[in-house]
Amino acid sequence: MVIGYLLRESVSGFRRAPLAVWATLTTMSLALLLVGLVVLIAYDARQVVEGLKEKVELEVFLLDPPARPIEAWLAELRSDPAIESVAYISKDSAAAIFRREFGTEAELFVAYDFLPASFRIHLRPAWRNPDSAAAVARRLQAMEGVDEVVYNQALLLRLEENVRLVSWMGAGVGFVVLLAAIVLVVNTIRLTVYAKRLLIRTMKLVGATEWFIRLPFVLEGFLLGMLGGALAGGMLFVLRELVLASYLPAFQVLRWPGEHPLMLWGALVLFGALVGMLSASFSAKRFIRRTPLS
Amino acid sequence: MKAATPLVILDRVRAGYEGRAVLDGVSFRLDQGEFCYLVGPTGSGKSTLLKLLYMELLPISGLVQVGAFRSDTIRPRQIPYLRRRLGVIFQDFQLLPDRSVFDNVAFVFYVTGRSGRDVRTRVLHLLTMVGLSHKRYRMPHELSGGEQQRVAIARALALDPELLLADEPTGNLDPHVSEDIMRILWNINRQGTAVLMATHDYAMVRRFPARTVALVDGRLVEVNPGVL
Repeated sequence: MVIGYLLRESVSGFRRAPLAVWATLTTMSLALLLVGLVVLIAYDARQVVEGLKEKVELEVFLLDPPARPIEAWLAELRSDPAIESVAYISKDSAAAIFRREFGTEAELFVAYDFLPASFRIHLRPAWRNPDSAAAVARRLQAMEGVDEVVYNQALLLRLEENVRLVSWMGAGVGFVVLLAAIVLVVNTIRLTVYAKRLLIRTMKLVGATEWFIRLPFVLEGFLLGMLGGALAGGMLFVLRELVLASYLPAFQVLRWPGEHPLMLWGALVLFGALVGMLSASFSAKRFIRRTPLS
Repeated sequence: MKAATPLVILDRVRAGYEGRAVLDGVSFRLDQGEFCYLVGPTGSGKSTLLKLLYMELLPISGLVQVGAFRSDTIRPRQIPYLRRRLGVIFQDFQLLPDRSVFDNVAFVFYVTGRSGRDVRTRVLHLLTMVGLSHKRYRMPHELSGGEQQRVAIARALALDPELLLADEPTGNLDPHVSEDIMRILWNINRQGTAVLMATHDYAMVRRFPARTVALVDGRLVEVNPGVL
């Protein structure tokens, strides 16, 4: 019965103070939508950068003739912790590629054997930054039989700079949005608490403990937060999958955080529930202490 | 003759708001089962004194003791347990407008963690005592002022308090309804509950005479109800 009472009271606001509940729910959904948008934009930006970094490859040109068997090279390179994949481009393959890329104009070069054999190397994600890539390049350059190591250092440098800038900006915007969302939710949830001031006063009068008075508000905040998170997640899905995708089809290539829209949706529901619960608990605590009995 | 047991003790109490003393040097004792009026003009500190008893307000100096609860040692989390031993009624009834008469009384049991079939029996008993069991499904706005105050009294008695504090309980009621309320309070007192009633309705005090204390210039003095 007591549990039944607590549950009834926690959902009673929906009926007894619908305006306050709707105001809180709307604010929460919008605040969580903003938080979700920041997370999504940050995740998308990261994916774009990672995608670009993935394309950066090191080309290791070998002296002719090779100093040792290709298998020995491949075995050594594949065991390197910095290297994700290695492809061997023989002199013949290099000539074929040259012919394919330059077409008939390539016929100007009568003999193709000036093209050296090479390895195309992709680094593991942790090494895809200017310093690590340069260190790997230096190490490869020092190997016997290597003529030259070439890679797009400028692109890596530019990406690194932009990532740093975008990360700081993203963290700053994310922090402000999060703070604004919490302040907004705390303030609007006060409306639902204020709407029940008479109930609080009476509960205090008859000797209800502070926790007992607070619990229905905490549960209500939890429910409102969950609902707000669910609505925000839904709006985010519609925005990205339907609205944005029809204007910017490139976005369809990008993955949702955790590979599935439900992951972000679930995270928003959980986060909303947590923020709602804590905000309600905080607001109710202050209000309970300040509500006079007469 | 057996000595009366004190239920409330105020010892040289100074109390007020934001440093301004409304009560100064107030000493008072109320025994178990006693009926006492607290009189004085508006603003004399009657409600302040009652607030000290349900510890909405703690004294600036001096001691307030209600049963085993002392103002100098009580912790905020113990205050609800003090209030469960008191019943409090106000001039403005303070009923919850969104629930029935029955639920207004049953509410006390739920919020103090009691449940079960005996809650229903007890609520019906309390409503019968104040003559309102037949209106248990009505909402407060469907009742007259006197009926609302009777519901408030039933609610205040729900947990069998040792002391009933009444802050101007007849202040909003017309004379004959006020008399009904007084008779109910009188009966409650006869059954053993101490009653401390703040009022400035001197006619009522003369009609139902009992021990009377008056607040004059922040101090408490015993007065003869007959001369009010």
